[in-house]
Amino acid sequence: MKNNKWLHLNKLSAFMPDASLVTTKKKLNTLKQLIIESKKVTNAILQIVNKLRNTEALSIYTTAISNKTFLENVFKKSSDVIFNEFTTLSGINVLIVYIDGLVDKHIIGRDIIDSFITKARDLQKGIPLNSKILKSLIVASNVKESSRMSVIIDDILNGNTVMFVDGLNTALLIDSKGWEKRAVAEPDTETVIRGPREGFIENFQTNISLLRRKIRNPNLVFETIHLGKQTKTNVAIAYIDGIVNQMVLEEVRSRLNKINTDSVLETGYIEQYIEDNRFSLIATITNTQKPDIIAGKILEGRVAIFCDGTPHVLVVPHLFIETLQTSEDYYVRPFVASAWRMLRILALIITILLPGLYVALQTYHQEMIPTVLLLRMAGSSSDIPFPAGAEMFIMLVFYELLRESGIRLPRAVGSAISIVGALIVGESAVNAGLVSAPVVIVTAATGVAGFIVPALSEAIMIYRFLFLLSGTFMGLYGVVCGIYIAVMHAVSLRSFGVPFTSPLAPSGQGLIEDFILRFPIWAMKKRPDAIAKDKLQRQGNNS
Amino acid sequence: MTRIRRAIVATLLLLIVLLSSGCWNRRELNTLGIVGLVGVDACEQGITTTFGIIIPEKSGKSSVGKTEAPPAKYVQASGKTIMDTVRDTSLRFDRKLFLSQAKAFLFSEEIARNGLGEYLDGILRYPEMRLSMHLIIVKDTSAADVMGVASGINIIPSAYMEDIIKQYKVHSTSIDSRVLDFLKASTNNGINPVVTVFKKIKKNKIGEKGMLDEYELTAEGVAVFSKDKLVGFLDGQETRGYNWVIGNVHGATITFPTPGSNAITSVEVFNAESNNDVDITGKEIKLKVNIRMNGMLDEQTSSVNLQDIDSIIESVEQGTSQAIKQEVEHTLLKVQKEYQSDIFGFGQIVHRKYPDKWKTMQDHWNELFSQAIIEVVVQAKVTKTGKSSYPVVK
Repeated sequence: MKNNKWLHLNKLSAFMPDASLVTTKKKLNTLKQLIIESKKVTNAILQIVNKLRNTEALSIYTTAISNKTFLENVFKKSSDVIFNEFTTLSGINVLIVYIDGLVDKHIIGRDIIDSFITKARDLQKGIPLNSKILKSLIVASNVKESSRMSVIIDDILNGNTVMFVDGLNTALLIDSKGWEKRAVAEPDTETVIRGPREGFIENFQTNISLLRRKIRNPNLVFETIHLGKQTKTNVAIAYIDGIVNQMVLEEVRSRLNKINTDSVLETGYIEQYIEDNRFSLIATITNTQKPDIIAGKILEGRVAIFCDGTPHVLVVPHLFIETLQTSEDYYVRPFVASAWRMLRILALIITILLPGLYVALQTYHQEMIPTVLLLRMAGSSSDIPFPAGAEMFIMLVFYELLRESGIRLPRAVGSAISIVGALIVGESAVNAGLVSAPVVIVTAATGVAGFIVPALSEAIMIYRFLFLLSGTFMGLYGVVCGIYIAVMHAVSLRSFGVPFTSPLAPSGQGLIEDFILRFPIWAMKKRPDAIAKDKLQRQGNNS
Repeated sequence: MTRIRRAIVATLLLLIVLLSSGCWNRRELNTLGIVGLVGVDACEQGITTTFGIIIPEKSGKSSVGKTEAPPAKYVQASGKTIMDTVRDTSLRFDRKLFLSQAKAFLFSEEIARNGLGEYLDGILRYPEMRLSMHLIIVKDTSAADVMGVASGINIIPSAYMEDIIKQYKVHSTSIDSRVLDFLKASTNNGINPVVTVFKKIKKNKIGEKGMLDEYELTAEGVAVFSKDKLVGFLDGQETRGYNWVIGNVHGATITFPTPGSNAITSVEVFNAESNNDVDITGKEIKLKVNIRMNGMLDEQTSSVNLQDIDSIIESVEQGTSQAIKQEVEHTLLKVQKEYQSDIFGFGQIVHRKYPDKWKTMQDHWNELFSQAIIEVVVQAKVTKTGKSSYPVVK
């Protein structure tokens, strides 16, 4: 092989007389030099371009017209950016810039332009203009000033109005936010019989004010940061200083700051970046649309994460018991609340295990079923063409299809789905002998029970199928193995350093009074110590 | 990459572990023949086993207004052992027999006289068999003969039979014997087993239509065993005597002549308990039975007003005690003299009380038992006189 290679080179030299090793090396070196130099040039060009683009350090121009051309270039002549130039009678050239749709036109018309023009009339000519005087000409409530272009651009994008005045090296930033928003309404997914019905909306400010109205306390802190290089979404961490677990708070801050993405459109984005175990079926971060729930949770020492543009607010740390709790539990008397809790635990067990258990008992452990029930089951499955496991699987898949289509369908045709589901699947399939009646009943019970624990519904569906598979292939042994694995996994989870299954495992941490039984409010004197760590005392002696 | 690969490998290993173990005997419900009753009869080859297989009801059809034959099918097979015959049925029956739901095991008298031990061994070993199954001796006819009878409300023969057995608490003239009880008693030196007896009897024909059942079953009496061999039967009243001794009377009506008149009095038993003891002095063995019973005056045909005189109640109590005593003594004597089989478990009391003497006695205990002196003490209490204090007869 080696010889061959040299042979080839020799041939080349024969072909090209001056192609000696030395000259080729020289030529190569010059080529390398050229490449390095051209890289240098491109770098220099890029730096210049970046300087031009980078408005970070740029300060504004003193003339309104040059500011306008600059901003027009920044916004790429986007049609929703409005440049309004006018001159007062006293001869002051003014440029105001805002984005149509993000501002309240009343504020701009009445409090800025009208007031400015009227008041500027009284200004004595010749007095050098400064920002103090200009501020007095505007009656809008929140007026700041800045000379940095980057701040100005951010403010315009946030819905503020920026005012440039000829001859001034600072611009006025006037708060004029006002855009279309949904009214505060009851969330569809978290309806209650007793308790407040208001829910968060897509508006960041409104959401924060909803929470502030619940907790009138200077210790309620909102730390706002911006996430997403493109979207620059407002994200706020809310907590109560003095109650919050500092470790958790630090962890939330650092994880949020580590997010490196171009867009954050919903809290779901944030959730996926900051959750503890990204490959777990079980969510270790919860979300809610209700201010009273957020208030209750952060009063226990938790941290809430608000995100602009979504009514769903995240809460960390999230424990398993929270999936079984509702806000209503605390508003009704403890006996009812405790009964509901137990019902929910039962529902959780039913909705996860029932299909698997049914198939396991039917195909492996017929001796465990009471004779009369077994005869019924045998009678109804005597001419079913599928094995029990397949039958159950088909029905569960069909149920999930119905459920999913029920969510996506327009409301007007929604009732069609229930008719199709109830009549065709429930009645006809049984009558046609495709599915046995007990399987339909088990599917129905599973589905109904699944809605009682909505916080877990996504994970539940997958667990249900896993348990069905293990029940079908391995019988009760498989179901029990599945329970072992699922419980071990849940116990191994942590949410921002707090064990997911506390106060069950590890026991002694947190509020066992608020687990299967909901003790009276006056008896829950302490906050859960797994979450609040040290500031535990919640109330004095009320009993 | 390595992390993901490791996770995949771990999952696969886990799947192999789970799938290769687990429950291996997967069987669909519609491949099983659910056996309700198993009857064993003697034949030339050994035994003939009859399996009563319940036909499951189809869903969607209501059972109301059905006058069809009992919803059961039968398959028979002959062989040397029961397990042998179970396999043999697969040649002729389209479902694999599933024995875990069997309610009762029936043996014919002939088989029982030769000893049940060899057949019960299979029941003890085979995983599908339950030891809580009822054990039944069929008197007079073959075991297969009674299996088709279901003249009650429940048209499934096994359920009909089980319901009848369970009603022994109402009359106390039969017992509920399970395979496990039999195994325990037959392998113990200090006690011998008794077994439920079933007999087919002809029914009186009443009406023309709808009364299609020609035969019915009765569970009166018990079969007395010595070890695993049948030695004889007790009739209904003797069985109640047996139940008094072992404290198994949960309900009964005792009828005796009203003291001081030629009328008849009935007393209903609410609860009863017994306290048995054995005294050994020298060579003499004394079996002591102490029965306490609580009841209510049920019926009387005399004109005595019980409300008035306490002594009349006392005499009713005495009469009750006397009646029970007679019943118990009759049973004890019959079992002692005729069957020589300690079905009451006095041997166990001796074992507990005189462990040293028991060692020499246990091998010929039944002989000693049959020669023992008996002493029966009955304390009957009648606390109520029913809804009425006054007699109807004036």
